[in-house]
Amino acid sequence: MEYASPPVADKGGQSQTAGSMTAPTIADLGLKPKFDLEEELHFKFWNPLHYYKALNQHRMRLDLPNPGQFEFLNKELKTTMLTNFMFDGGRADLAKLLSQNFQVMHTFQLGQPGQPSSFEFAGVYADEDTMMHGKMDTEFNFQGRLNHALTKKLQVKSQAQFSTTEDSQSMFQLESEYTGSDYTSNVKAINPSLVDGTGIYMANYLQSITSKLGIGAELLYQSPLPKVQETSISFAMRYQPSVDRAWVAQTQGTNMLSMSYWRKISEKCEAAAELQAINAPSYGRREASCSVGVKYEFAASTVRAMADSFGKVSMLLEEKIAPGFSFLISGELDHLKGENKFGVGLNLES
Amino acid sequence: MNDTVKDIIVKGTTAGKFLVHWGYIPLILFIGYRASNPKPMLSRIINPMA
Repeated sequence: MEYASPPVADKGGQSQTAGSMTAPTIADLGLKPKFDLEEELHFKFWNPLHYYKALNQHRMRLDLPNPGQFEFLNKELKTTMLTNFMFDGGRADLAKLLSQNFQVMHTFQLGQPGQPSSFEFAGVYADEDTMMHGKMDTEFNFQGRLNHALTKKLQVKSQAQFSTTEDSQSMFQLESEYTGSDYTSNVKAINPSLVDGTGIYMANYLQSITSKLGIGAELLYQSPLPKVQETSISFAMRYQPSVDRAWVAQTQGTNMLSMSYWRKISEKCEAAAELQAINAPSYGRREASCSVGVKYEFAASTVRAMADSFGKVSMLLEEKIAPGFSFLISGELDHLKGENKFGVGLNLES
Repeated sequence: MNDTVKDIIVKGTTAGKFLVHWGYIPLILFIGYRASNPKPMLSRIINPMA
């Protein structure tokens, strides 16, 4: 009887089998993984560290995807809904791409009753591990952001906002985020003060439970005055059964609940619905609001429309007239209050 | 934490705020100008219409 000769692992890592068609094992390729999945698991019940190692091996075998970031749990909702893109009055946005990493933006906004005309200058530098963004106003209000990736998995982000007119609007935020294989953890500090320990500190953690479901929790510690402290915990869940739909539910403390559903109906059309409920009897607020939004992306234009449960209907049209030049029209009708807003803008990239 | 340390921290944060407020955007422009190849014309940074 002829037995196939066993594979011999070479220095070069190539297995030399004569006539056998077995797939190369991890040992043949000359790689030693961090957790050796090939070895037989002799469970050393007397070794406490082995419990952690066994749990980790099971987790690696499950091979779950990364759930994303806690802040951007409903990132598709933010791009589909109109709320971040809505503007009022006349607006011109000129972006100049000076090089691949560096760009400068000039934004002009025409005055409104109650708001003077403003000009804003912004500079952005984006590298493969750094992103720096700074914005300055005609009234010398400053907004700056800095994202730096220390390693492939650890990222440090900081954000600052200084205003010369109102001191209460100044803030500084520092956050560090670690992206694991199937989890993301994030620690954030807003206005930390070394002098008296005031500030807002948050830590959150998001873990993939199955390949479609991710669950997270956030712990918030607030100290607005030196002797006053408050903590609260919130939970979040994201269920994504396929690439084209996502369900997200989030609570904030014990007072607020928000749920959303996003669906990509076709390549050009996306729709989303969101429900937010606030129950804070001590602040005298018990209300809920629901909004439905849709986004159509055509070859030369993008249309976003949204309807609210407060009787607000709004729409934004962005028409790409020439490469680098696009024209925007936005309108918002508030039927309950009777206040309507319209905006006209243009975006120019050169 | 005694008063001199508190004083130093407060003075340091005020100076840091001032530096970031006025120096961050020039820093971005400087780093962007140095890192870009070919170097853009300086008038393109300041003038919106150029």
